[in-house]
Amino acid sequence: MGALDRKLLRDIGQSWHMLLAISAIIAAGIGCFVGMMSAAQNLEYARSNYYSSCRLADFWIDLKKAPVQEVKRLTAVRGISEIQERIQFRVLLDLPGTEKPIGTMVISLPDEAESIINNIIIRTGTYFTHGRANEVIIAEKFAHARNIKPGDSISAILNNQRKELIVVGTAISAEFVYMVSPGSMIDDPGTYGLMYIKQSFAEDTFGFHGACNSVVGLLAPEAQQEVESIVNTLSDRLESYGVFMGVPRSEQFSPMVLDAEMTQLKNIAFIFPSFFLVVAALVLNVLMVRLAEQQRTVIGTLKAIGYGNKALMFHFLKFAATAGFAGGILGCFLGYWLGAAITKMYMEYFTFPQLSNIFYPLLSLAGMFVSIVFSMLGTLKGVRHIMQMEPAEAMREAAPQVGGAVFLEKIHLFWQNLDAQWQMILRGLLRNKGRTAVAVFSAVMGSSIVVLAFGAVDSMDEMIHLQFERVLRSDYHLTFQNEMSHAAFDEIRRLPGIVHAEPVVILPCTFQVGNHSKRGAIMGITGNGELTCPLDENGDAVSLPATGLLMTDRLMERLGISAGDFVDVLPVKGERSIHKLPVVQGISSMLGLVVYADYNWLNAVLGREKVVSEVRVLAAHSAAGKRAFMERVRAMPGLETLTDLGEQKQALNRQMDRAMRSSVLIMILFAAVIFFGAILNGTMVAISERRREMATFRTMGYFENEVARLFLRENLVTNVIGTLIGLPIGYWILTLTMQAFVTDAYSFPAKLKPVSYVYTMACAVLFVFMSQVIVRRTLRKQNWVEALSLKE
Amino acid sequence: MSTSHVLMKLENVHRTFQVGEVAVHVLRGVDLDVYAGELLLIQGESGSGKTTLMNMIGGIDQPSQGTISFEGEEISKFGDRRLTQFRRDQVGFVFQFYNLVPTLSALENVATATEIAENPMDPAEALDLVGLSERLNHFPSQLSGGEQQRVAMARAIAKRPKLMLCDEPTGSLDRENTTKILELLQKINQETDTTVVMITHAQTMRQMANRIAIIGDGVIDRVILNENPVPARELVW
Ligand SMILES: Nc1ncnc2c1ncn2[C@@H]1O[C@H](COP(=O)(O)OP(=O)(O)OP(=O)(O)O)[C@@H](O)[C@H]1O
Ligand SMILES: [Mg+2]
Repeated sequence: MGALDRKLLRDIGQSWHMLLAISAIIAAGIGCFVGMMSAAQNLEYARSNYYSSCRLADFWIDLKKAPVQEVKRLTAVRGISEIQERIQFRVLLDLPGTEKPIGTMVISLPDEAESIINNIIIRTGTYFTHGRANEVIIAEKFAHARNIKPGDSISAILNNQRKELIVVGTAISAEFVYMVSPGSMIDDPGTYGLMYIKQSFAEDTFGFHGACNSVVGLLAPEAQQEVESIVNTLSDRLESYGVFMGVPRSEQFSPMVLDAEMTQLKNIAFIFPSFFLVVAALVLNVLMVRLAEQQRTVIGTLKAIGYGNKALMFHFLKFAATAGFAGGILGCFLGYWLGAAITKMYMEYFTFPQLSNIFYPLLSLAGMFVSIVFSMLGTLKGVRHIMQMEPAEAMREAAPQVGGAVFLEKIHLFWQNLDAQWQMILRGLLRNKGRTAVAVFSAVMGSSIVVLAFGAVDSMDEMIHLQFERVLRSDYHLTFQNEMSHAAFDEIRRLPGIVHAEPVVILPCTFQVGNHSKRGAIMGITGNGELTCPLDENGDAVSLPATGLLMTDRLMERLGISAGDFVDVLPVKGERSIHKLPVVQGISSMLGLVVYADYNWLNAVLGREKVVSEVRVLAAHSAAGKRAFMERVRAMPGLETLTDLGEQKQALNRQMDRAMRSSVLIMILFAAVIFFGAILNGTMVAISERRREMATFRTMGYFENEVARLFLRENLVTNVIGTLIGLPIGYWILTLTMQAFVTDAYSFPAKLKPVSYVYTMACAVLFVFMSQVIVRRTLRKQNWVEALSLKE
Repeated sequence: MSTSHVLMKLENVHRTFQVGEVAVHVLRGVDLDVYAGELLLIQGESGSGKTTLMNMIGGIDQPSQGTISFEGEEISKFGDRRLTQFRRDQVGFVFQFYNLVPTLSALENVATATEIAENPMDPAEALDLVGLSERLNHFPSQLSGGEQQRVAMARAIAKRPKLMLCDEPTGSLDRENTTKILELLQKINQETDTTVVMITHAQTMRQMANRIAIIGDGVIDRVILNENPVPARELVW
């Protein structure tokens, strides 16, 4: 080992705690990167296995009723490799232990197991047997939540007839990796069911002999790109059978949610860690400049005896690389663990036959590489400093620190009232502008992450608040298979247990403007109604116009229109004439791309008797009233789903508690790493630079805590200022993040409660005080007497 | 001087430094009385233990063995808190390398001492005493070595200590500045009755001290009495 390498080891030994602080920041960043990317890859890996083993469809077409013969003929369409027809209905289940009927999706499967499109994987029990017609296979998650096991029998209302069904097995399917009840978007396993019945039983029960209402298909590999146009072709061919919806895989709910989640995860995996790496590089710069300054005579001497710039540069690069290397290794371990934790969290929402955490050597290698690159960036300033040193000049002592007044002193009233310690701190901070800037910047980054953590919770809270307390004020939504007459609504309204009810007519349609088009629905709601109250983007109530539409801003953007424009509305069902309707005003909607219109007006536009597709209800809150209501609901013919909004709200809150609170904690921990790393490194550098000063204070009779207080105050100043700047910046990042999370399905309002600002500041101050414990320990270990006689 | 009482008493003071495996026995039984109000010079070869001894007198180091007492109180038994309090209340230090805070002006440097003292002078008054009333707002980098040392002295006297400890206060200064500093020390010693203990190498300075303690072989080799100290101006170099 060369002498220079021996010096390197000794230098590392001397500043190991500072290098460790920097490594910790790097590790946090690399850990996030590796962890999130691992989780995304785990998902991707599990997904591709699952999709191919279940033969997940490339497209779905829902229709009213089509002859199987017709559907079979579609196989001839260019690009189609296989077509499968099915029967599917939404029904209600009557389960013991709950008053409420549970909305359930029923899908037909061949009587005998075969390799079909959207195949299922049996988890317990068996596939259908020969004996009984009424056998069913239940989705595993739902079965779990409702404690249903093979061998149980359950009662369901299928096509208005009560049927006993015998459970033979539980299963999962790639079609429903993520499943929610229609219109709710909330994962609440017990409240919405999925079961498979025999094809023959479905035909008998629903009167679908030789007919189907769901078509799924696979495309030839070379046709994958043209999926949109193929779906259109098929929809056109089937038009006469009443096509409700035709979507490619990318727009089917479960694949779409999964895909969006993975894209978001990968995006964050690149953005979030960069916070840490940038801070680490800056903090490392502070250390390197100090090191170069401290060793200037040594460097000068080395240069004088013939070491070249290159050798010295490598020497310092190696020093910094140890931080990058250690941070990278730590980060890979942390990342593996974090990947497992994130993957485990996803397992609660997404159903996969197998989702395990895998170690990705290439990802770790990339992590190591990035980490070392950033540690190299961290040496730039220090190395430039060394390069510029002339041996003769460097061997002499460094020029004494310059004195002089700082601008704050011009504010006499302020300056005069400070004690000497404060004056010293403020002058020091203003003189070492670069270092102070790094300290402040680190606090900005750290506090931004804390704001982001609190903001995520606040935004979710706000979303739940707006959605369930402001917009949807009803207790239940009763959705019917077919539209009913207004007279039927009047009957429901008078049922016992119902305090107030409002009719809703839902018109599934395609919105078209020029060449933009988007599938959706118009909801006709009661003007001046009490149960559905649209809000604008500021959260203010919007009154429903007597004519015209209220449209979600996001949809208006998609269609390229603004308030006052007209939109072509093409109803999905019934007569296919186009209505040109005016958009009166934009509204905000957290869940889905909602469009509202006046109930009476919408019915009139369609030129028909008033009809009702959904009834929104305020129910009696007494137990007896509730029971009476449920009894009636169960007997209601044609009821497709009963949505319990209270339950949904609870489910959302539960989800928040489960997922959000723990990720908030993790984020705050990560922010703490930035705070600690930056504070400790900055303070260590300051201590090493001012040992002599500190020693003088101690000899003059300053107590240890009085000396430590100097650093405490200094750190408080930089971190409080940094956090004050970080609050608005964090909020801004929060807004961007929430915007990045916007999909057709969701949009979150960016919200930060005033108390969260206070919490963030409290966190920052707490972190300063916590790092002070280590600062004090370091100060205690200093040898003052020695520092005094050192001639630096 | 024989009439004044003993301010500090050092009895059988030992100090050993452990350097790796080796124990360096620097002081091997120092006995020394420091009288209130005197100007005591400590001299000896380089490495003889002068600074080590002074550090223990000033309470920034503790003996390995033996006792040191200040006005009857055994400070060698003090823990860190009481020792710090002792320095704070009783001791003013002046070092060879000034040890000023570079980010504070002269006035503010002195204030660092007065802010923690019980009954301090006004910092400006202390600087006036050392002849720097014109340079209150100057920073160390804007002052000459001699001026910096005078600021350091102002900082030491501003809290009105009973004991002033100076470790080669003129070690980095030229003749003229040395004389100024010595004059000041003498003035402080005589006018405020502050006890001054000073380490120097220069033989000449013996002429201005009351007593000279000479260290050799880890003990006080001998003590020279000087009945007629001369003013610093009149030192014969
Ligand atoms: N902290 C320490 N650790 C080890 N040895 C020490 C320590 N402090 C002092 N010494 C040793 O003690 C001896 C006396 O040191 P001291 O500084 O007291 O000498 P001095 O008389 O002040 O010398 P000088 O005139 O050169 O300042 C020296 O040999 C020194 O190496
Ligand atoms: Mg010495």
